[in-house]
Amino acid sequence: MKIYIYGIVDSNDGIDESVYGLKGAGVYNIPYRDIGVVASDLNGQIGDITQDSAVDHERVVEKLMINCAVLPVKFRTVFASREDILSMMKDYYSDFKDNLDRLRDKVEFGVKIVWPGEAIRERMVIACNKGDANVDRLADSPAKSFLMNAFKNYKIGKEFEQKADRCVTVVDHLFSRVAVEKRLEKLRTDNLLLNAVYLVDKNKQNDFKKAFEHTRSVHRGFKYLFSGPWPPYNFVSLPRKSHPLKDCGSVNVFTEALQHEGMPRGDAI
Amino acid sequence: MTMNRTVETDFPETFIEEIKKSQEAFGERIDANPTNVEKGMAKLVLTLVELIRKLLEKQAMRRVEGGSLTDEEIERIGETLMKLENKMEELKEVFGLKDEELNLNLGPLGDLM
Repeated sequence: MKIYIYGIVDSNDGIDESVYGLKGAGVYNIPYRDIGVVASDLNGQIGDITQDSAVDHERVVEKLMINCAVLPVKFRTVFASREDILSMMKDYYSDFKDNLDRLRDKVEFGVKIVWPGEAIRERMVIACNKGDANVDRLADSPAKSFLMNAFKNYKIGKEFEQKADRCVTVVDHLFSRVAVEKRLEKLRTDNLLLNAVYLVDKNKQNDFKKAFEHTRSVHRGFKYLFSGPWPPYNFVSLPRKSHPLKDCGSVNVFTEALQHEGMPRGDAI
Repeated sequence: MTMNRTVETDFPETFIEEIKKSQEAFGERIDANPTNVEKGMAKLVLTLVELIRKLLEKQAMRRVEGGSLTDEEIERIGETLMKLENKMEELKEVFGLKDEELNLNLGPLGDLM
């Protein structure tokens, strides 16, 4: 029988019997020293990705967060045996402890911002074409013309990114004052100016929401999507060279399964 | 859900569209199996060639920007980049690959390009 895991917690106590996991399975704690791995038995295959299964996983993590610090594990992480889990815990105990201390009483918020990027780029193209009329005449061969054209695109791209940087700095300012950590992803598409996640103290959630309301009221030219609080999926930080879950068959599909999120890919275990 | 969560936007359609676009732009894994191993390998090789081509192009752009190139150098670099791009177009057509497919998802590090 395989073992499905939900998270690593700063407790080696048993789990409340009212918590059910994937496919209604009972959830239990596999203790290791003073911490534990919250898991449920998995009969057969894990099955297709469904919204229900993603919500089941999320519900377990959130219930754990009521009483514990939790390192949420990626949706669909499965181990072959209890021994494998204990071996991982032995190898990464101190890393897990560090993360549990860092993420205790913290939650994650997501902020996405759309700007009229395609229109902005189009205006830059028009302006660049007007300004470079003389340069075009100087390109007296196909090779020069090709290079000049590539240079125009390069300049437009650079100007576009600089403008995006300025806008991101402005909107990120208030969030950064409240958050303790952040992960920013700029221009995933021309229009998706910012896809950000912020780590916030539980007792500062209202301050963060107020910062969002203020930003939205001041910078009205953007479109916003605000979500949270979430378990801190994007802020678990482990040594990259020896990732504990790289060979256990985990599938990095949590963000795809939770259709509304699509957060930056962080170091979530 | 137990947390008091909000997911708030006045423009749900806009965000659904942009998130879909960003997921399409995400580099997929190399899908190599016995029936398409040639295309899988071609995708990997061409992705790396495209990365090198873009690095060369960027370097050339910096030199153009710096104004340090002579007329002859502009001609020679332009011709090289043009031929490289044409060759890439040919190869993409041969293996049935699109521009957006020439990328690799490096996990937490993001996309290759």
